Amino acid sequence: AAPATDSNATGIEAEFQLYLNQLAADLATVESVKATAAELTKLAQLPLQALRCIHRSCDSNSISKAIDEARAALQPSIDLLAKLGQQMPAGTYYKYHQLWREPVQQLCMAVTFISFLESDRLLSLEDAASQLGMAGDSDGGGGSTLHLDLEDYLFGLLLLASELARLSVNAVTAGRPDLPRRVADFSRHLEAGFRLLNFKNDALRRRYDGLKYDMRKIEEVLYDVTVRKLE
Amino acid sequence: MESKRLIFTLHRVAGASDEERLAVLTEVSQRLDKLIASKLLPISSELTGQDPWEYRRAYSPGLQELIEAMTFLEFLSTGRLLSLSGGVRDRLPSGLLVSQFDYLLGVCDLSGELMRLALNAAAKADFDTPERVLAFLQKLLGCCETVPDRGPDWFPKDFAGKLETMRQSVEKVETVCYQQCLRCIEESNIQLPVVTH
Repeated sequence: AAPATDSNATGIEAEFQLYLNQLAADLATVESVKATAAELTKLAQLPLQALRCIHRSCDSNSISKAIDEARAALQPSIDLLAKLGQQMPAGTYYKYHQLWREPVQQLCMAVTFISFLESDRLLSLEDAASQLGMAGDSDGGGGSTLHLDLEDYLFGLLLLASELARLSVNAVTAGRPDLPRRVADFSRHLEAGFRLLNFKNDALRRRYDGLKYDMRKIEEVLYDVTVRKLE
Repeated sequence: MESKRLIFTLHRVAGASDEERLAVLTEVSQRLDKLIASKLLPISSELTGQDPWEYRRAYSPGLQELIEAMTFLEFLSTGRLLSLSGGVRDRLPSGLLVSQFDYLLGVCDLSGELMRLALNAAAKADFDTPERVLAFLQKLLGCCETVPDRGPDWFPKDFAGKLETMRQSVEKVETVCYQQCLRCIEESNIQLPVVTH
């Protein structure tokens, strides 16, 4: 057997140097994506903050005002999302996905909430994505561009359901006994849709399990309102 | 420990008459001053000349309880939130480091106490207190939700958990006000009045 030559050893070192360089470049990207994601997390709160004022006063004027403020607050997030898309090299969407899932889910919730308040309509994934400046889910490019992942959209809808359950209760207290029926009709369709889906045993599934408690609250409020003929 | 007793005393205010209320609030305020003088002043003088961050962890939980008691007292007296810079730091020895997070965590715990106050008041047919508590808590929650819940190592790890607890407290108060509202309607049997906060 021939003894290990010097050139062999240098070969291994060179290989490892290559890996180290690639790793360093990767870590640099991770750091910059993380920084943008942290900024996005902060900004994504703002539209929700504007919308949540509705829990205190939900006459039509207050709702319109809240929607306008929320829309204005969405723009910085949309801009930042675009920046995020540029920071990730092509084909690496899912590599860094975990870093910024949460704010995207919250932004999804914000736009679908607005759609409900304005027109009782469920905003589709495609429409939600375009409102946020992202491509829709199955975009052909193999997921390399910045797009709205189906699971994030669904998570956003589940967040919306909880928010609507809370709204039902506060709407009655704030003098809008007509809202619980609108919430109930919308949520029933939402729940029916979710029941068609097959879930893996993951975070989305666990969140979906909470939907039945939201639904129960919504139905109870509707019952209270109906039985007292408050509508 | 003493802070917990003070909070317990403050809860007696629910459903009490105006004079009793005033008596309790005054008593608690005096006990608070004594507590600060007896426990915190020595700590502050011990730490003079030291880096305040080094020993923070030792007295932080006790400090949070104290802030909880102070803010509770302030809410019962004036209906306002005792601020960090004006209110809390003024009453405490100046050498003592009170970080924003000590304040925030104390305030989170305050929401739990306010929830208990609202529930007790509702049980005693006091309709006014739950509404005031609700308005206050909803505002407070809105503000706390803007605080990032992750950060460098000295960020408390339990902030996210406390925030979730605060949300649940707020929801309980919302439910109580909702039920009160329904009951009012049943009793008066008129068109639902618009309640503005």
